[in-house]
Amino acid sequence: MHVTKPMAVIVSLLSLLVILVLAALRCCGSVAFETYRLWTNIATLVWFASAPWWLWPRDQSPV
Amino acid sequence: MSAQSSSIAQRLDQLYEFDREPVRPDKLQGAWKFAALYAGEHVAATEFVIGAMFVIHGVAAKDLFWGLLLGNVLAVLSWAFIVAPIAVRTRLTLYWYLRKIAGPGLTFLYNVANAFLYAILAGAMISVSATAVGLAFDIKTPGLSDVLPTSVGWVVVTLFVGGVVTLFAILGFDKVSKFSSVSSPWLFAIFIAGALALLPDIGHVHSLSDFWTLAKTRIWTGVPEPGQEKYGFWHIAFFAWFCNLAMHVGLSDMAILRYARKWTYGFLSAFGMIPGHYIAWIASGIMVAAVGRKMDPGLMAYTAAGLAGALAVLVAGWTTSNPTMYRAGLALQVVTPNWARWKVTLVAGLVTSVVACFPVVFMRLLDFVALYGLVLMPIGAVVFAEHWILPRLHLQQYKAEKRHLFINWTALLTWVATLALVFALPIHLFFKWLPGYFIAIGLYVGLSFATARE
Repeated sequence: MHVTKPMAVIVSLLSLLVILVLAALRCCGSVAFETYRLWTNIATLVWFASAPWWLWPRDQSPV
Repeated sequence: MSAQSSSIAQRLDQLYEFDREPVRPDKLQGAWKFAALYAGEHVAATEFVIGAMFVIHGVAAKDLFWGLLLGNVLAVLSWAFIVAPIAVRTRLTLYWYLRKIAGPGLTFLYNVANAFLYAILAGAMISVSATAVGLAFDIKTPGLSDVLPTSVGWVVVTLFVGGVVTLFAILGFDKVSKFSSVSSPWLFAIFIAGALALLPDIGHVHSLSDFWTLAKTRIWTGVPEPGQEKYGFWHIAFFAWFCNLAMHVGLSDMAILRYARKWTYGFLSAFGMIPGHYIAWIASGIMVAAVGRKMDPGLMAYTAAGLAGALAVLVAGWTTSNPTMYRAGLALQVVTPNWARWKVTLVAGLVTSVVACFPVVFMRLLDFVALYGLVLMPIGAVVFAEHWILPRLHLQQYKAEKRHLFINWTALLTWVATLALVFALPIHLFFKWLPGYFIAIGLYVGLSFATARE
C-alpha cells in the first residue's frame, strides 16, 4: 500500500487521540480499564507504524 | 604549554572541529524547530522518577502546583535572558567560547567532569528502563533507601539493558536519536493517559473540584514516606528551576541556541517545560500514588497503560541514555587517543551499565540532578561575567586565547573556590546554587581585576 505523508499524519494523530479519549472515558467511568488498556496498546502499534513516515528526521539539521 | 598538554588540547579540538566557526547566517533556524526540539527533549525517563519523588517526599498539592509554576517560569526566563543572548551574540558552542576564556586545559577538565556526570545520569536512565524489563521476569525493584544492588536478578537485568543500549549506541547513535523524535509525542500521551486512567483507583473524580480534593488528600498529602525528607514550596520551585541548570545558567544550550535568529527564541524552552516539567511530573505523581507510593517506574507505567506503559518506560530510558552515553564517550575519547569511536562508546557503556546496577543513582535522582547543575554552574558564571561584566569594567576579555594560556587560573580558582564555599554553606542542597552563582561571578570579576592590576 502506498502511504502518503498526509495520510500518515492523520492516522498517527488519531492514534494519540484514541489513547487520550479512552483514558478520559476510563477516568469518567464510561469504559472498563481493560478496554482502555487494549486500545492503548493497539493505538501504540498504530503510532509506531505511521508516525515515522512523517516524524522521522530526514537530515542532520543541528536544531 | 607542554607537549603532552598541547596534544590533549589538539585531540579535544579535533572532536569539536565541525562546529569551530560561528554559525553562518544562512544556517540559522526558525522558531518552530526550537519549539519542537524543546518539546521532544524534556519529556524523558527522568519525568517518571521526578514527579513520583515529589509524592514520596510529601509535597502538599498547593506547594506542588504553584512551586512548579514559579520554578518553570524562572527556568524559561533563564534560557531567555542568560544563555540565548550570549549564544546569538557569539554563535559559538560553550566548548569553543570557554576555550577562548579559560584555555584548552580548563575546557578539558570541564569536559571530563561533564562526562563523569553524564555517565551517572545515563546510568539512572538505564535503571529506570530496567524496572520495566524486570516486570517480565518478576524481579523486585530495589527500595527507596537501597544503595547497593539488591539481587542478582536486578544486576543481570540492568546489565542486559545497559548492554543493549550500548550496542545500539555503537551501531547507530543517530538512528536512536531519530527514533527518540518519533516517540516523544506518544510518550507524552502515555503520561497523560496513564494519570487519567488511574485517577478512579485513587478516588471518584467528576469535576475539577473533586480532583483538587483528591490531590490534597490522597496524592500530594504533605506527608512524606517514612525516612524521606519533607519538601515544601521552595524545594519544588528551586528544583524546577535548576533541573536543567547546566543547560541554561550553565550555558551548555549555547550549542543549540547559537542557531536561533533572535535571542527571544530562549522563551521557546516553555514548550519543553510545560509538558515535560509540569504536566508529566504531575502525571507521574498521580501514577505513583495509584500504586501505593511504591517507587517503581516500570510498575507504575505498566499498571497505568499495560504493555504500552512498560514500553514507554523502556523507550524513555533508552532514548535518554543514548545521547547521554554518546556525550560521555565523546569526552572520554580525548583521553583515549587513536581509539575507534565504537571502542570508546563500549567503555562508556560498560561504565554506565555498572553504575546503573546501583539503585542509589535513581532513588536519589533529585539530589544527583542538584549536584550535576551545581558542579557545572560556576563555569556558566565565569562565561557570563567574561561576556557581560569584564568589558564594562574595561578588563581584558579572552585572556586565555590572547596570551595562549593552557589554563586560565582565575577561572579554575573561581570554579574550585565556589564549589568549596557552596558546599560549606549551611543551606539545603537545592538552594546552594543561587548564592553560588553570585559568589562565582564576584570571585571571577574580583580575581580578574586583581590580576589585571598585576
